[in-house]
Amino acid sequence: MPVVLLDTEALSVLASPKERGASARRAQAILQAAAIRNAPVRTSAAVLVEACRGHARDTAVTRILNQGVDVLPVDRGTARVAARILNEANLDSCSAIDAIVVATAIRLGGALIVTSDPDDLSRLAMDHPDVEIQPL
Amino acid sequence: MGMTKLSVTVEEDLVDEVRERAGDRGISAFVNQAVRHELQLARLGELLADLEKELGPPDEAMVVEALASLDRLEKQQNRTKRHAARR
Repeated sequence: MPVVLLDTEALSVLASPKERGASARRAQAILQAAAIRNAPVRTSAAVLVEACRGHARDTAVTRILNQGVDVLPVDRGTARVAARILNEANLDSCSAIDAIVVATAIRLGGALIVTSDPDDLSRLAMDHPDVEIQPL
Repeated sequence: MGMTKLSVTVEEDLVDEVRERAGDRGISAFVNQAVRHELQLARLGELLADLEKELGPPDEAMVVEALASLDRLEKQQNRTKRHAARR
């Protein structure tokens, strides 16, 4: 079963669901579907660079990470793949975290990436049919 | 990570298949992974319960849509695997 991979916005939406209306409802539905299909829900350690910036919602993000959302480390192989797809998509290092998320999905043998920024991620995942982008 | 020896009792019909599927990885590694997966799902259940308190029950049409995405992706992954096996 494919992995569900959360990007920064997906994590933020889940951290403060009440303020995020329709996006939160979609994120909730995706997690429900993951639970029904026994699909693991994960994120990348790189995502936490953006998601945990010392705001009040850090506590909420931490709570979610303790509730069955596994954090995958960024190893050498993942970094290399991220660098390659960043080059191929002609994006600069401002998109480094997006590239790491897509590279993590590639290294897992595919994943459903939940994001509110489908354009850049789709561009990065262009040549990888096993990586699907699920917009919020 | 530290390891602790644990004695468990398992239903007989599971044992043969576990032995066969665990193979070189060994039964402990197999069981470890299965337990980790199960715990993760239990924790995901808690997260879903929290979300339901804040948002109400999940929207059925959206869940159906997300299930379809997961199933489509699984099919695609299987195609890739078959393709790789043929090469």
